[in-house]
Amino acid sequence: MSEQKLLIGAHAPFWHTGDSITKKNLNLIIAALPAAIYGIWMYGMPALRVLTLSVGCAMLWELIMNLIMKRPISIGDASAAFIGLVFGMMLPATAPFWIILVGTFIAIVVGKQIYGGIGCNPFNPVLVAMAMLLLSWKDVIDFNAALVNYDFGFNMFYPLSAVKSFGASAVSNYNLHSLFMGKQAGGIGAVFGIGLLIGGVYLILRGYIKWEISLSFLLGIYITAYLFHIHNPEKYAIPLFHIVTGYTLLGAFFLAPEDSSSPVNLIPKIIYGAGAGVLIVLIRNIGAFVDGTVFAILIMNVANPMFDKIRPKVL
Amino acid sequence: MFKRPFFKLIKPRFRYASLKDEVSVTEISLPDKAILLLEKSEVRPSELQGYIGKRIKTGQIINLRETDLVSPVTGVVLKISQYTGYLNVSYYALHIQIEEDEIEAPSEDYIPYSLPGIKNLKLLFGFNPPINHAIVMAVDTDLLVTTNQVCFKNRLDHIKNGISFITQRAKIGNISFVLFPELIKYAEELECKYHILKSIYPNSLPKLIVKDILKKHIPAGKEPEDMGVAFLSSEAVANMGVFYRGEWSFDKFITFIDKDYSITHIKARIGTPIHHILSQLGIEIEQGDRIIFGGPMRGKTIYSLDTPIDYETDAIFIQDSSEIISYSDTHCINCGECIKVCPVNVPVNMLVRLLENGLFEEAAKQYGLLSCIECGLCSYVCIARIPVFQYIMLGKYELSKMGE
Repeated sequence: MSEQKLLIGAHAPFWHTGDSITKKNLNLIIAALPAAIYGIWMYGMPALRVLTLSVGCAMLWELIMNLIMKRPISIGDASAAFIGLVFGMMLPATAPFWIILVGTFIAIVVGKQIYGGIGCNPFNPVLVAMAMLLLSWKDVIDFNAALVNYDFGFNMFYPLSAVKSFGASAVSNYNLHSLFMGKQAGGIGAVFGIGLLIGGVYLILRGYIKWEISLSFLLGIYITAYLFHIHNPEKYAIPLFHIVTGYTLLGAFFLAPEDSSSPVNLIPKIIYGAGAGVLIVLIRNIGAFVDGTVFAILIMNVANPMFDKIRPKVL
Repeated sequence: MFKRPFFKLIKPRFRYASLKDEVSVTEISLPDKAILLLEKSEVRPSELQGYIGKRIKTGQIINLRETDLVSPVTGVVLKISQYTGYLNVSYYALHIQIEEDEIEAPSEDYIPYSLPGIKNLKLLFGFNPPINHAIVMAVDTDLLVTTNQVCFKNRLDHIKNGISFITQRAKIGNISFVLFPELIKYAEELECKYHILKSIYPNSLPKLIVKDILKKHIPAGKEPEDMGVAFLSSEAVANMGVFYRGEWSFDKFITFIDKDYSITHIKARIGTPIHHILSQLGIEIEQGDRIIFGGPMRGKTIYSLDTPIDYETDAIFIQDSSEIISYSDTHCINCGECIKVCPVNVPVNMLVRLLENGLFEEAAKQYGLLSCIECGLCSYVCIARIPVFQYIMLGKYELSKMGE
């Protein structure tokens, strides 16, 4: 209308929570740290080597893919770092360097970038990598073989292998309380139950993960394991044993609620979480694998778009 | 700005601004030059050309093709320019050199097209389907804004006359008020029917009122008017009351929200350019600031300091450049915040994927694009900073273009 200086225009709303993907991922990393630090404290340098290499490689693959695909550099959003960290936390401290290199490649490139990067992955990238390792290099992930040279003064036989081979009687060799406090063999960052729980509660309170998924996931495991246990107490372990061993707690708070591969509506979230929990116990108790977390969540990832069709009526 | 709290178990809950103390209204003097906006679709340029150089009086009726313009000021028409507003609506802008007011009283049976607070008063007369329920909003539809509450509290006498106008002239018998609990005593003074609204955003949006209070279902893409319900601001009703007594009222009440969120209630003549208000209040605008007509969730930015106060400019919100958060082009990460916050259960996460790719028809058919009530909360909470509300409005705009 006149020659005056023009103002900056924009569309409503003019407020924002101030939240961002970077902040969210940094919080996820912070929440994962207690468990990771416990692993480093327990295994020392080898564990630190695995975690740093894993985070570094994941970020490097992301950067390389950004450059190849001519996309904006996205390592700043800390998503690759988080994937690297969680992947490292699932490995034994003795994991060779090449398995980390290959694993992070699968996670970042196959699991995430080829679908278009953050938000586009239909599966949890960490679990894609872990599934590949479990199928291709089973021995490397076998905690009994990997941690044979470590002795911390507690039972170093991988608890889930013990119940798989010897039935529920093996549970008596373990103390549930010390299992929860991290006195067990397993992944670097997967054994410290209390640390994972604190991290998970922190994330739930801060609203960074879908708490419905975590809760229904744990309930799904508990109830299914309980049913197995009352059906045959000799053969199947008590439900709490399933909660504190293997990747359960890592899965509940850091793997299953991964944003893009999990549903957003209330009922689908509950079905998804509970379904993953049920599948884990099925795989552990009657399936071929020692721990079912990886495949159970992956299967639910596949079904996720179908679940999310269940949604409330608009207006 | 309301930032995310450290702990966030429940979805954000915004309370509307409420009036606790008595409010004093600052009167803005008449500017030297006023600007009147006329929608291009309602006017032929030739009709307007004839007025250049002529003097028009306050209250003088200028007959146009689709509408009438009742001049809110007295003065000489200097020139006609063009202006483009929100959603690509084009206007002619009539520049008027202001002189001292000379008032032409309204004739008995005349109904003006607009009054301060309501752009289209003809809605109450012969709209199809006929309006049978008038809801008077003593609440405001955006955060921080209290214009309608102030008008309700301070202009009860005018509102009483306004009710007579609606019942006598528009022949609408069913009138009810919508208000927050703080204002009940004023409603009781009016002896009218009223509904109490919980003071939580976005409860006061018309479609939600129809759904929650009238318990009626609005089909997607329909407006409350299509169901015979008209929403009138309390300011509009007060001005109808003034008009019913045989006078004009061309002053618009405005909530002025400064950069530091201090609030001034002002009263300015329709057509007053924004720069005049800023200079009267002694407010400096700097490079990069935003001037928003309306509140923080649903307002519209203006791009020129010449933009005039219009009939429905309830608030002016000045946002400091340091408070501006820019949007990004990241993908939706499916975190589900928008789903939690949407008051009408629109599957925003799916909707935005379609809208980003221009699939507007499918978005309307499958994912409730046209059911959106335009509260803006999805953009507010979006962690990926996707301009969700913008995409939704773009989708609605494109669909309306396709329909033409």
